[in-house]
Amino acid sequence: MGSYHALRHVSIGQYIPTGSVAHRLDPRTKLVAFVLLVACTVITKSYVGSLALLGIILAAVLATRLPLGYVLRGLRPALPFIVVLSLLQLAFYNSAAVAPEAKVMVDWGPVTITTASVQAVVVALLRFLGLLFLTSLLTNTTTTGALTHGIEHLLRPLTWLGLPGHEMALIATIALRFVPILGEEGEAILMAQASRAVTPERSGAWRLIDSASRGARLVVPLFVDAYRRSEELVLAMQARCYHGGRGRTQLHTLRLARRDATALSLVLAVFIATLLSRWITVA
Amino acid sequence: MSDTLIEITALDHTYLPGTPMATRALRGASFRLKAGEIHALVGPSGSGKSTLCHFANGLLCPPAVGHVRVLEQDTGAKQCDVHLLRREVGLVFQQPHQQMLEELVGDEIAYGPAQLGLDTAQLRERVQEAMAAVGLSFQRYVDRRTFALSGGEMRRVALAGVLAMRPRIMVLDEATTGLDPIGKQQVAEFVRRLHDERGMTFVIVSNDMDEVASLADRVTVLYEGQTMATGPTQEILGPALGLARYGLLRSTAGQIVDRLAEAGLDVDRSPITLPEAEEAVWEAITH
Amino acid sequence: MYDERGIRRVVNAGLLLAITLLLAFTRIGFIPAPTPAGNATIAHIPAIIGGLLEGPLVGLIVGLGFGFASFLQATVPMFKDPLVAVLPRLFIGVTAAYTYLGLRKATKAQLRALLGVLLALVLFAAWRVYAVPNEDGSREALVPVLIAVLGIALVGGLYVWLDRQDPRIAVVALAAAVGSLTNTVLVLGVASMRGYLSPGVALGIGITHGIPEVIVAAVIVIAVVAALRGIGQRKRSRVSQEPPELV
Repeated sequence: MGSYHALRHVSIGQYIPTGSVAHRLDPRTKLVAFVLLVACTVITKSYVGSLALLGIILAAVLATRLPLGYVLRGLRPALPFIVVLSLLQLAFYNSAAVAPEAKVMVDWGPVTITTASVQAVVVALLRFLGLLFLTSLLTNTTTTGALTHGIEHLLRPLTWLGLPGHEMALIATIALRFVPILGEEGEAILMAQASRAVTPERSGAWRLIDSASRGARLVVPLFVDAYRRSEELVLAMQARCYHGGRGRTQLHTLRLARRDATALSLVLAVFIATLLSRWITVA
Repeated sequence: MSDTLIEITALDHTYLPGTPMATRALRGASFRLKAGEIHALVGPSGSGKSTLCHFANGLLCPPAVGHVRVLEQDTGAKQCDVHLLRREVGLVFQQPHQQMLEELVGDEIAYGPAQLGLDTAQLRERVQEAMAAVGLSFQRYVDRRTFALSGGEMRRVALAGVLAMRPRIMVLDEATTGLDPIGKQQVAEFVRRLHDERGMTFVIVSNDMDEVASLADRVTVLYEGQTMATGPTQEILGPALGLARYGLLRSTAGQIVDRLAEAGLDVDRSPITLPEAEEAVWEAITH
Repeated sequence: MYDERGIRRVVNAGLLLAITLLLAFTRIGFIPAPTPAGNATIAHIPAIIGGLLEGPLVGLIVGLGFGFASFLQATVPMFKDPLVAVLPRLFIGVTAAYTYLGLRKATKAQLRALLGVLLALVLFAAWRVYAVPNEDGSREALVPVLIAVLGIALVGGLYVWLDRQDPRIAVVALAAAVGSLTNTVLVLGVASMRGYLSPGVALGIGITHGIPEVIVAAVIVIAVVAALRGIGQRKRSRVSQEPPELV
């Protein structure tokens, strides 16, 4: 009860100001670093590489003085799932297809565990932790507004590659701006629904059907409202002679500083090192 | 059975407590609703009026601080039957399109009663009764799509949907805000008709002082989450209270006689409706 | 891009993306369902609707947003992998869009023929599973029978339902189903290829999770499109009266 008013405050990660260097980095730097480092975690497949990468990421997190406990807290409810899924992955990893030369450790009916399986599972877990911290690094040190501007600015140059960069930036801006507005709508709809729930919830199988129909009843008015707003917005944009993004001047300007250059070079170094380590070992 | 249907005392409420977005909506608010009255709840935006209504309907319960008693149910108690409250206290929200839960008008109005296990004939009776009360033709509207209706039609459907539960109390939370004068008049007629013909008790949240002056028996003023004043409409909207302190004005009629009095006319300042003001001004001129 | 249609697509993409984010990051994006995870996601539905109503490009963008949100939100290793979380989601809106575009003008007869083809495919698949013997020479009997029975029931049910529907609604439902299935199949497929799940487990999850999600998606998408476009069969409310007897 009374939990309807949290909907409009959807945030993509809670901004935690600790005043570290990372907080003062240009959001574009952080976004680019994020993408590059995510790519690194995906590329790495060796024990050494994964551990090294995780170490680097952890160092970065510690440098931002973010409370580690907060970051890991989100994991707690998912822990049993993680354990079960990892065990399943370990047991049924299709090692024969991926790494036929791996040494078999356990062969017990349908369950086959090879050294490759173990490596895959361990690397996956390390990668998972790395990505968790990376996400935290991005979302906890950057306000949603800064993120929006960063995304906007980064998408703009895509126009030179032939992609509709400006339009994509606009889409991102509209989306992030409307999340709290639609959240408020959702709240109101939920409250209206709840205020007419005149009988207790049915138990058993009915619960699922009721929940499903309640979900549908929430979503449909939300879409209708969104379309109504979109029609208003289209008219407003036309009235202000929106003609695409070419030649538009900006209200907010982002400036790069020396620390951005430093951070980017560090990240680039890690990225190149990762690529090299992967390609060299393969060769 | 007590005459007091709703009794709220010393109610505090904070939204999202403990987070950076915590907002204290009510601080020690109180409210008393007696059977058969039309009670207006006024106050500037953010004063906590909607929050108070949500407590009355069981949408928010139990109260963290304070007492809320609705229809003999103490919402702080464990055995508080929230669903009874939802049945007996009908809450209508400001935006009708947020209250459409079904695709078809007939199903939408039947939504509440349908949960009570009534059969189709009984449901139909309730829907017809509700639609008649709001002035919608059963034949013409029952199979229409809710989202294809105009704003005014949707509003009437929303009212009918709540009415179909045959509640003892109807709470209209800013149900006329943003309506044109004809729309407001229709809602006012609806309220008066149900009050006079069925003895329905109403809580009307509104900032339209003229509406309050013409409809309400009693008024409660909320300001920054506290109850500042409560009493008969005549008194609250009268010259003595100083509504301006709370960011409110007297009704237009009251403002007219105030201004005339300040300009020097020896006129009775107590009128709150236009007919009363007309009479008072006429009296003062022809004296 | 500067005409009304272009602006409309940009704005709608933005708003649908907003709904996606709302659904992905709050509890309203998950509907309890009889699936192994306990929840069926509905956050992929804006991508489907975007593809349906605005075209494959919008579907792609909203799908990308969904994938990204899913990636940020994930707490299990499988979904923290961008290839599993983001890549497959690009196609949700695209497949829904092309299904709709392709079948938009279909008549009821053509749709019925399509159902016939579908049934034939299902029966063929069942036969194939039966025809290929296992390593030890035995033949799987249970699975093909199951597939065949389910297939006939499903197609039969769809046939009856189609009969009473505006064909445009049926196409919308089909597009929604395709979109939802794209989500399920591609995500599980990539997960399986990356080694997170064995093919058997993936298939199991696909069926137990995917089917309820398809149903939920179809129901919701139909309701939304009907509300927005005003199409669909003239329905009667449950409290409607029977038309008076014509004398």
